[in-house]
Amino acid sequence: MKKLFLALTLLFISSLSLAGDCPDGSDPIKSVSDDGTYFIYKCGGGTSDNSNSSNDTSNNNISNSTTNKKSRNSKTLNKSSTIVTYDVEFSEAILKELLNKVVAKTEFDFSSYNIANNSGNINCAFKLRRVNYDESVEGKIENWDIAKGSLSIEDGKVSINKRSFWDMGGLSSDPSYLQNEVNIRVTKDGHFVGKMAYFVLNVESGEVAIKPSYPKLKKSPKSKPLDLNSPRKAQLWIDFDDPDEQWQGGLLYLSNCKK
Amino acid sequence: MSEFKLTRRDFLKASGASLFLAGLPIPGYTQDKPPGTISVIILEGGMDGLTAIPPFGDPNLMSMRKAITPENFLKLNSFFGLHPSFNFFSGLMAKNNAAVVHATNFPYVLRSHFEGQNLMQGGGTAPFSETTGWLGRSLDLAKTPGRALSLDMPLILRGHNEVDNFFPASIKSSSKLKDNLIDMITQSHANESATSFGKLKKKVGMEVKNMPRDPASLAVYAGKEMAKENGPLASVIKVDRFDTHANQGADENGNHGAQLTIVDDILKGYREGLGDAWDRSIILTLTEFGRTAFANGTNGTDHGYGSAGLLAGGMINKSKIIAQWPGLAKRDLFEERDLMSTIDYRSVCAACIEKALGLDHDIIADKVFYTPKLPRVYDYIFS
Repeated sequence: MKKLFLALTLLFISSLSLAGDCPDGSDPIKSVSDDGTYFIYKCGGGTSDNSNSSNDTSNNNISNSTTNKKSRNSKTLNKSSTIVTYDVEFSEAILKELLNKVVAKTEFDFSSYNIANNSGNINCAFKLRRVNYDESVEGKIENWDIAKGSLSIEDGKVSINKRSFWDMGGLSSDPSYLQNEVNIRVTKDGHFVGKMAYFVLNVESGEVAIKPSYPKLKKSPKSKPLDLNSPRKAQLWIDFDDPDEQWQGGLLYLSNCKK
Repeated sequence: MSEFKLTRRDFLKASGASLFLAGLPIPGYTQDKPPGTISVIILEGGMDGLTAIPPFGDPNLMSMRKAITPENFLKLNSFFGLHPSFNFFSGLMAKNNAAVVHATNFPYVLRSHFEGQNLMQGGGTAPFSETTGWLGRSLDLAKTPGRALSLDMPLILRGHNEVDNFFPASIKSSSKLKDNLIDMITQSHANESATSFGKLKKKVGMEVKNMPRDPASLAVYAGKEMAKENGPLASVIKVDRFDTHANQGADENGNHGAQLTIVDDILKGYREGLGDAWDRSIILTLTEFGRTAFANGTNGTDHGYGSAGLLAGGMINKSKIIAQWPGLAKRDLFEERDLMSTIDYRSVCAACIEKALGLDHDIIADKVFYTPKLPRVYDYIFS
């Protein structure tokens, strides 16, 4: 009889705990007593007494109250009684090193250029030819198109249209390079700047595929830029920064441009 | 003659993984395009959260697992570190595009691979209680049920909708099967449905047979598909071999470290494939359980409970570690042997669904995880 009375008393106390909310509006945290015979309900911020609640697998003791959210930068606690967000902290030198690991291949800083954000819509045909510097400093423009198709300029951003293609074999036959790996803008004075996947070498069937290069497109004094007010044609020179690739360059011809 | 060298890392990088794409928006059915994409990397075997994200600030860590804790971890702050295998992930951390939820797991404590894997994919309250998966049910709710790409549909992607699984895998000597089947389905539907099936047929015909099958290349491919205008909204990549009972190793050259490298390569692959679509992506890892807090007699670890979840993507705008740290003292461990799970990982999945698919948390809790009172941890991750 005594045991029954004790059980009923504990049940009553337990239900009382359940009925009340914490002062900060969050739900009480449920845990198990040290001897495992009854539940304890505590408001957030109390001592962590949750470590023995091994059968409470639903983890409903997580507080979802934003008032409980803390940001902790030190190892002051080995245990915490609420969810804590630990900030990530790197020194400046390490941060710079880490950031270099995730820079996208076509990422380009346009901030130093005056981009023609109000260029409107311009469509052009294009062809790209390789310039060979092996035999002359001025370069010899080869007489075949390494890529061709059409492009659109919309508010400064250049997009290569579908059905455009590289003609360098190997991986260049994957159209996604022209669709997804071109990050080019047009400047107010009609130059193309940015980065793009670029196939330098021709790959024959059966040869090992060669990954594209990612040259920076910059303003070249040799270029004849596009007149954005009355666009018709342009010749834009592409130079490579990588010494191993400086034996060649590119010349992008734009023609039949229409606004 | 050049010497052919194949390192262990190269070999493992080329090892197999499985990719599944799902959630193709269907014109006329999908009302609003969800705000983002969601990708899940399933780590089968039980990833060791204490190795992946060593809580070096806890004084008990080194005494219980010195032989399997990397010495050259990257300090994320004064309490948590990052395993050296996470070369790319560390960059994402620096770029505020990554987060970690620690001391977390699905509500499952019995340490069986089969039950745990079923529960983490099913998202129910008990193993083998569900015939559909939490991601599939989420896609149903987002009205993007057109899913692909294999007869071996993983549980996580199975939904209730009838169009589920109409897209069969390639079967040897039956190369026309897919076309014929879709033609038949197309003929039995009209208007927008026919258009949709037409698009699907075009997708089937895509030349992917020469695509590399290593995990990183699969991630690049998945990312490129998801970046397309009407591409899939969800993808799942499965990687196994995390069950390192012996010779687990500590650093990136160890057995567990090599598997973590694969995860890192997958994240890098997604970043490359997604391109600009990275900004609306969320990627999360799942594992069926963590591993024992103490190293065993063969310098491995056995099946445990709490682990860590890795999150990455452009939808994360502040890198952080989120934990209700339970402590590593013996009395703080689950059954005095495993890291305690203090955050229900279903809450983390729910937050990612809420962010990527634009669904309400209460609906996700009720209709996807069948737990109406599932805590909402969205603000911890995304605010």
